[in-house]
Amino acid sequence: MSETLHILLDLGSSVDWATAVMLVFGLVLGILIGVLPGMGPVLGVALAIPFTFYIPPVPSIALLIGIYQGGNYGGAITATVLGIPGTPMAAATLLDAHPMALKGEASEAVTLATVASFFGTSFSAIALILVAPTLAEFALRFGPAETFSLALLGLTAIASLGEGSTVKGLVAGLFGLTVATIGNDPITGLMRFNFGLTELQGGINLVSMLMGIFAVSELLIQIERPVRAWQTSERIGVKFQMFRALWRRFLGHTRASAIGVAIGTIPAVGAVASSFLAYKLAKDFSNHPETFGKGEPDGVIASEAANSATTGGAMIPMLALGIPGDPVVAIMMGGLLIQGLTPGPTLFFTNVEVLTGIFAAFLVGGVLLLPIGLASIPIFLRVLRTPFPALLAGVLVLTVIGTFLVQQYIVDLWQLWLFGVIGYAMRKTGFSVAAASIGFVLGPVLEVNLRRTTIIMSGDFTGYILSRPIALTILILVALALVFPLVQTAILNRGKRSAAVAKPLPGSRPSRK
Amino acid sequence: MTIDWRNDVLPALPFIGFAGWLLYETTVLDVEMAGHVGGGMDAAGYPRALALLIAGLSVLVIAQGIRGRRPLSAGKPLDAPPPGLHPGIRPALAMAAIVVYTFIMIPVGFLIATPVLLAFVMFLVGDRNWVRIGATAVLLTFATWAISFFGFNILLPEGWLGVLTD
Repeated sequence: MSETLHILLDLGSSVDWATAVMLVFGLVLGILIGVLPGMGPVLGVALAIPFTFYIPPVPSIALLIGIYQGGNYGGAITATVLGIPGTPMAAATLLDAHPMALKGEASEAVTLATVASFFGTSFSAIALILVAPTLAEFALRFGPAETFSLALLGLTAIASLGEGSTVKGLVAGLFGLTVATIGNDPITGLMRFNFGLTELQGGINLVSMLMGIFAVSELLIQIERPVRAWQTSERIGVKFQMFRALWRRFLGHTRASAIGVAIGTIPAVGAVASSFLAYKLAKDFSNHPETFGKGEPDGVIASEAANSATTGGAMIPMLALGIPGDPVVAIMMGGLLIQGLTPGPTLFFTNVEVLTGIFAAFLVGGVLLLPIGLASIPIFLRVLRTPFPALLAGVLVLTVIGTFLVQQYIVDLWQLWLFGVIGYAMRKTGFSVAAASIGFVLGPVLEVNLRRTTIIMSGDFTGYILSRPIALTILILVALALVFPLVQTAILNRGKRSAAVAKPLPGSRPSRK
Repeated sequence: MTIDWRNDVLPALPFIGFAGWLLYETTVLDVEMAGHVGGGMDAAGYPRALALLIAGLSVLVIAQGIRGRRPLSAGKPLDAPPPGLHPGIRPALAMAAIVVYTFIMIPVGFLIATPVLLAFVMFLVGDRNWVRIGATAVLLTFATWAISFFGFNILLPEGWLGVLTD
């Protein structure tokens, strides 16, 4: 708690001009990326990563935070105006925001979404500042066994609780772990799998891998199924009377934001799940649930507050434990690693000023989201009309330049394209690129701590694990994360079979009980 | 019994091949020279364990595909293919262009090779307005060149244009 107090006292002096400028730039860029269907904060953060090489640590992380926060919000604009979610996390927002727009209340819907996003982001920033230091202090008691178990939990959760097949997710995660072994062995220095190339002595380029597997694979998918520019003639303004929702619907905002933070801390579950859960609860608690889905403001508030609050929640395990909660945060973790900062409990004691800067940037970003979001709505609606080929060309050239600028090695571009093709093939066949990227980012941590654990336990695995209750608990959670999807599938299949059996044959009389 | 070749069987085979290659590579690593630190898992043991897990789980993916847990949509009428190129050809052509671009970027130069690549990709995804294609490709190239030179002090490959500055 003393660490939290220390951080709170330093917050005010932690945001300098460079950080503020990068934060605003990131928010604008993030909202723009969120507005454009098919883009999203994952792509935005991946594209920004290489440029963080040239910026000091706090402003560079502020840029990524701004893109993350803005990207999570931007999809609501497209969901309202076009009836399609700009980002997956805006899918629940669409359920009531678009019906409001169809009733001629587009400005009201967008204003409500902006206010709710502001509330959710700010709420999660406060949660991040209060919870992360306490969690980090607890995590200082962790040894190699606990750290290995935690890394394994993060990877397993992403692989099994995310979308798609659990087995395929695990294969993808293991593939990422294997790619991370290329280069010098972290314990003995032995060169592994570098194909005789000196450029691979340091391993696969982090930027090339992340940009390739996310950005290039997305480009290839967009090239496969190109879309036209989106057409809209809506004129959207700000409805200041919607600000009253902040205190008239304060409980709804708070409940949804708390759900967002809680869900965000669990690896792999993410903003989509939190927004739908918050929407459902808002409907359950409403006095008139029949209005949901037909333009109910409480529906917009619940989903936007929750999906925005997930951002802070996902940062908690990444900063405090070094375990990324979702793909965007995994890429942000890469951004910290590029700056020479290793996320985890020691960061709270060796780089407090950087951490305070990150917390302050998150809090200020949440506050700035309101004016920037509202002011930029008319501009971003114009951007929606940009021809799709031009947008694609812009993303392609940014991908090339971003990767090449890191070291000016052509081999980095070859890695970029290779992982792009691998990522494209994985996405087409149901293998999780998120699991692969998290496996790559967590690989060194997982390997070093596993091998240290095997050295310490000296062959007596059972006795050693039983003497480490925290590691044992986490390993049980790993097992549950693996088993849960299988149990869920079995229950669902049994339900389907029962429904098929209970359905009477055509022409027969139903049985009486 | 239906077999989901496309989604399960065929994609798992490269992973099995990868695991086999990895297993072989771990046998030729000179672990003894690097030294074995106090017992426990060595530098080859960890990737070997990963290879075995990948191989085992990939076999499981194939088994799921052969069990036919998801039936093929043979009974549904196919959608009419979109006009023009088959969708799968476009990414292949784009990658071919990107590979050529990467080979020629240094000898030819960023400012010449990049607009050609961008114009090709824009044409590939359906733009037929050559003025817009040309203007967009050239503007984007020069904008990114300017950002890297004036913003980051990095001069991108000059290639053929290098004779102008020599």
